[in-house]
Amino acid sequence: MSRGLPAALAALVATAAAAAAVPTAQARADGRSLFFYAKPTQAQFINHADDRARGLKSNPFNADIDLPPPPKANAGKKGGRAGDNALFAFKLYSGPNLTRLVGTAVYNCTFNFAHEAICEADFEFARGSMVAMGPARLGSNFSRIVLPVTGGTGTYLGAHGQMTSTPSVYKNTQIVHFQLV
Amino acid sequence: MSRTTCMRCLVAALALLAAALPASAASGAASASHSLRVYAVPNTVQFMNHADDRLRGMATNPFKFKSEAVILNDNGKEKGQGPFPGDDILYTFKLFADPTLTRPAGTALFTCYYEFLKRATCDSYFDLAKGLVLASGQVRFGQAHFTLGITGGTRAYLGALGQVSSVPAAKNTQRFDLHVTGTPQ
Repeated sequence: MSRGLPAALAALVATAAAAAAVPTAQARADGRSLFFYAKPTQAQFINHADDRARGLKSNPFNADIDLPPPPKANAGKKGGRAGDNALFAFKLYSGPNLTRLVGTAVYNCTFNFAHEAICEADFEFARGSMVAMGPARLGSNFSRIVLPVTGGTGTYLGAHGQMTSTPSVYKNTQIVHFQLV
Repeated sequence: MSRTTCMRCLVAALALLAAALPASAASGAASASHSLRVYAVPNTVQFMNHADDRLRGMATNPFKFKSEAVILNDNGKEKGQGPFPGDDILYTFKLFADPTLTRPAGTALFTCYYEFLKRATCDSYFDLAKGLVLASGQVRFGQAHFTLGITGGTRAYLGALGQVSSVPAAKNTQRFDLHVTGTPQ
């Protein structure tokens, strides 16, 4: 019986070691940092000027609610106005030389005020997808945007964290950085 | 103490260790949870009336249903003032840390897409000093009490989950209680 104890001890030690190792491995797998290079392929702007004008005259607000859009937000400037939509499509590459295509991305943005929009970004890869959503400043071109990552599928099931897209001077691309928790 | 007894003690100790390790590891990976209260003053609003798109969609659509009866009167006009399906409203708020509205705490924006019965799916973000909190959920038009699910965040709120509760407050303000979980400790 006493000879059996070392085996039990070894099993327990192995169990203890495995128990300690599993969270570490998960932490490594989950705490991922991923980089992609996004090249724009298509864009579509949807101008809702008529809906905006109609909404100023015919709306569900009471007369005592007086909250007009900011006077300079929807006039006198180029670019999207409140309620307009913009769709952008990208090809995603693994490196800056844009040789290895790894996926695609689509940004669906609804403008609010002062050229800012709320965007839902869908990233499709061979083995899964990720979704991010949040504000983006959309001027004549993309500036740096940081969006919360709200979910994913496949390899990225339950993805959570943030996505940063930064303009790159190289080949008119965006550097997309996923920081997952 | 005999050798067998000693070994049993050791086995028991290791069993305890094995049981404790996942717990400690889990607590090490545990995320922070905290609450934040802000007071919101409506700043701007934009209503988008999609009556023409709705009408066009009734005549030409990829489905086989007829939705005229949902929102049209016998005379062909929309019933009441809406908001109707497809309309959207954008709201911006100034946020303050105190009910007297003296300490600015950031801004918030709500984009609400209307469905049926004046209910909307709203996507919102709270732009706070330490980062951004994103929340979504259903809000009925004109209703001050609602709760949204927090779906993410950036910087200090990286990986945030939780909920935002809204209740009316004094001086025509809204009080938002953000219960944030899942952020790194």
